[in-house]
Amino acid sequence: MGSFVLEGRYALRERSVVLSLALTLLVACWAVIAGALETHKQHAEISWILEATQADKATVLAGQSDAGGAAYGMHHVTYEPPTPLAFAAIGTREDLPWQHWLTMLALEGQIYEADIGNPELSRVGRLDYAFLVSVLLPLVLILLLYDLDSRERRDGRYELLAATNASPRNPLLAKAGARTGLLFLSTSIPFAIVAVIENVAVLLWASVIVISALHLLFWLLVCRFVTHRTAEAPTAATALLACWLLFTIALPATARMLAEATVVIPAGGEILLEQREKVNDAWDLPKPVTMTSFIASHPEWEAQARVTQPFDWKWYFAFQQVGDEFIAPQSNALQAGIARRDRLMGWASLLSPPLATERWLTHLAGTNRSHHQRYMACVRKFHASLRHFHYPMLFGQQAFSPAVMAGLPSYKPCSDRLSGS
Amino acid sequence: MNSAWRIAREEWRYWLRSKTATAVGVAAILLIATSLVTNYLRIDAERDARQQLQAVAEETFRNQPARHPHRMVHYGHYVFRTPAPLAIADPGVDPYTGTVMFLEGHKQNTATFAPGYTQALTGPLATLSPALVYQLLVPLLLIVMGFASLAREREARTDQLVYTMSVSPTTLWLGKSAALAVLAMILSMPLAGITALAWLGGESVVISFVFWLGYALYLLCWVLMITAGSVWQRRASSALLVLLASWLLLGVLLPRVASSAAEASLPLQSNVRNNLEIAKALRDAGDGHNSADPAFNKLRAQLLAQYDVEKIEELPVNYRGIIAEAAEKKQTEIINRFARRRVDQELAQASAANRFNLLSPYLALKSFSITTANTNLEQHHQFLRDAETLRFSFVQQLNKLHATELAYVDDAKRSIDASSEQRARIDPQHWRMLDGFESERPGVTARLTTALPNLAILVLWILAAAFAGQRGAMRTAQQTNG
Repeated sequence: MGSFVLEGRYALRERSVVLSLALTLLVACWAVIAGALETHKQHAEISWILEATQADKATVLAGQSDAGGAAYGMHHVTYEPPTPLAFAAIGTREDLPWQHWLTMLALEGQIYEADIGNPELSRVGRLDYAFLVSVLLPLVLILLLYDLDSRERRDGRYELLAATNASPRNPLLAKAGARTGLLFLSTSIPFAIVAVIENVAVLLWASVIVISALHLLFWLLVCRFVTHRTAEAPTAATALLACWLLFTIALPATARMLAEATVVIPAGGEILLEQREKVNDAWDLPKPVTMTSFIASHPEWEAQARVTQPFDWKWYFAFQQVGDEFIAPQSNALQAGIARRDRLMGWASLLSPPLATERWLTHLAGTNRSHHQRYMACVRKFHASLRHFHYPMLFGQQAFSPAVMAGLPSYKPCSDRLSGS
Repeated sequence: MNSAWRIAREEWRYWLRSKTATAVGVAAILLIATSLVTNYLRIDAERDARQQLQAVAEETFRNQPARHPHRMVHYGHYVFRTPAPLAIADPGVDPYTGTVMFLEGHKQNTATFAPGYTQALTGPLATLSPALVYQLLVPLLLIVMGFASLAREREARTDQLVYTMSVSPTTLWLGKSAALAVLAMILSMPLAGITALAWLGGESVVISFVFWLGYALYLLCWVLMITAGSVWQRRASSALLVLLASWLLLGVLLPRVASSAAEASLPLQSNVRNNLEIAKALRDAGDGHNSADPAFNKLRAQLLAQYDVEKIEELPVNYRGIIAEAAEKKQTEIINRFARRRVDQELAQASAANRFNLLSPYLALKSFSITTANTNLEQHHQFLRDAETLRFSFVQQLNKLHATELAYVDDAKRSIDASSEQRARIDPQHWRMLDGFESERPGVTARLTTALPNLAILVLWILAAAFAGQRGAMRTAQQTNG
């Protein structure tokens, strides 16, 4: 332990080390503060939207005289609040939708929103803590460690060091370890401070720190392994860069190509087109055809399923439901395909520590793919509950009244063991 | 000049003997080839799929049976965004923007199904597009090849030997730069190939060439920065340190700082919030489905006076259709006001981020690349505008049919009387109103004009790096002589 502290002090006497550490500290502060501001902005946006939706629903409802009109006119909002840890890994919240604006109409036509943020900025990506730890820190570490051995060799001290050191096989381990430790502190301290301010559960932020430490440890070992065997600093640096390129870019990119080539998913455009055909065909089909399909999945309304007028709200919403049910196999296949691709990337991350780090951090922050899919499932569940609420009124079992409408379901984010603070 | 070439040749001979250089060469070829081929295949497949779906969407619209025209307003239409020809080199915002948009009456939907929605998430840097390879990875490989070019000579004191053969320090520096520049140009050849493919795919030849030229200038800029870094540092290893740190700052860190700064200083309002505001504004403007809405009282009085009749049933036109048309026009004005606001917010953010372009050749090239390739934010906005124009045009054509082809009495009773419902349908020959969808692309001059400032920034960096390199060469020569 003592030698680490001593080596740390030595390291801080070097200008390039101090400069790298200061810059890292600055970037880390920027990353966690910008992340925290972003999550606060998202929370504020959600409260504004919830309040405005409440007012919007009340206004629409006031002008309605029947259940069908009310169901048709009202919009509902669904959202996924950022977890306390989301500031550290923005993940899917950058470019996948985390809020929706829905009506009782067929859901498949409404759920595939894109255009969430500014695409030109999404493309560049965020400078968040996860990016810092998984991509930048290894590079900084390489810059700090690549010439340790060659410098000692050049100055003719290497043999002496090897002879007098406690660990003669790797005499510079303490020196490298001290530098890694300093780099680790320069990012973990700002992270931990913001994590505590943001009320992140101790276990959660401690896990983040452990993951970051393990990732740095991996790169420390890679650096030691390479520089120990290479006499020249430039050769060592080149080899280390090659490792960084391999683990950070080449392996994940290859894995992605393989995952997308092996898991074929239905085209989104086709889902939309087919769904619309099914919904719109109903206007020209005899009413019993639609109602029979509807009864097949909702036998409880069989007695009330007769439609006598050219237009009837119950028939209108029945064909919306039938349209969704018709396209459900493709829609499920799409979600299953996305999940499968993600699982394959999970396996691939066993080979790429940077990818694994990124995946673990977004997992803990609730901003990974599976979390997003859980949100989408939650939206579907909410939409189903809306239908469930409206059908008794549409099918004439319950009278439309403000008292009944007061029980209108409103969206609650699905509980998740990670989202609590 | 001749001796500069001789030095360049020697540098090449040195590389051909070195194992590192071979490894770098193999890595470069692999990266470039993989990125070009996979991105080409992906964009090509996307283009085919989207064009095919576009044709299907138009065909099904045309083949709809006899219907009430307002049914067709809600049946709607789909438009698909096809990638620009140069997207095979730089896909730009394509993976982050919706590819398909549903067009219907009274509503402006957003584009859905961004390619990113289904892609396997790989972490921030591992999307191997040719643009990323040329913008970030090729400079990295050039650094590895060139960081020692001058520092090595000085460490081994072989530069003194060269100077005794009446070679000036400037010539030595020039020769080393030329060697690296030739390598950069060779590496840029596959990119020239892919821009040629884009040209065959319909891109203008001038744009294709200028696109490649921008990348060539960018690589040249790195070549000169590398030799300058190599000449100013006393040791090869510190030259490498400085160059890698610059690469990290200019190419990885600064872009993200720029975009975070833009996002934090000019926050974007979410789409849901926009929708809520639009809904409120639309409510105040009147409901086109409800011809009794007081918002239309004035129009009604005007029509009755114009045709000199007492009741709307006596009008020679279908009052409901007239209302639908008037309401659509009013609603569209409101919706477009909000759409323009959103577009302006996004553009303001993007230009705030672009303010950093002067600080990094990487940023300048990145902006240059997407504007020239037509895969930038503006092009996406153009798609949204063109889709809106098409939406408004077919919806209003349908509303005109609603006003002229249907009798008011049948129209009013169609929801309760089956025979009125049958009479309130019009012949399907009217559905032949769509003539394909092609988003307009800005012309060659317009794109060149927007690209020019970024090219100028690259040239500035080239001049600065050349100046620094030449000065460094003179200085070190003096130092070692003195």
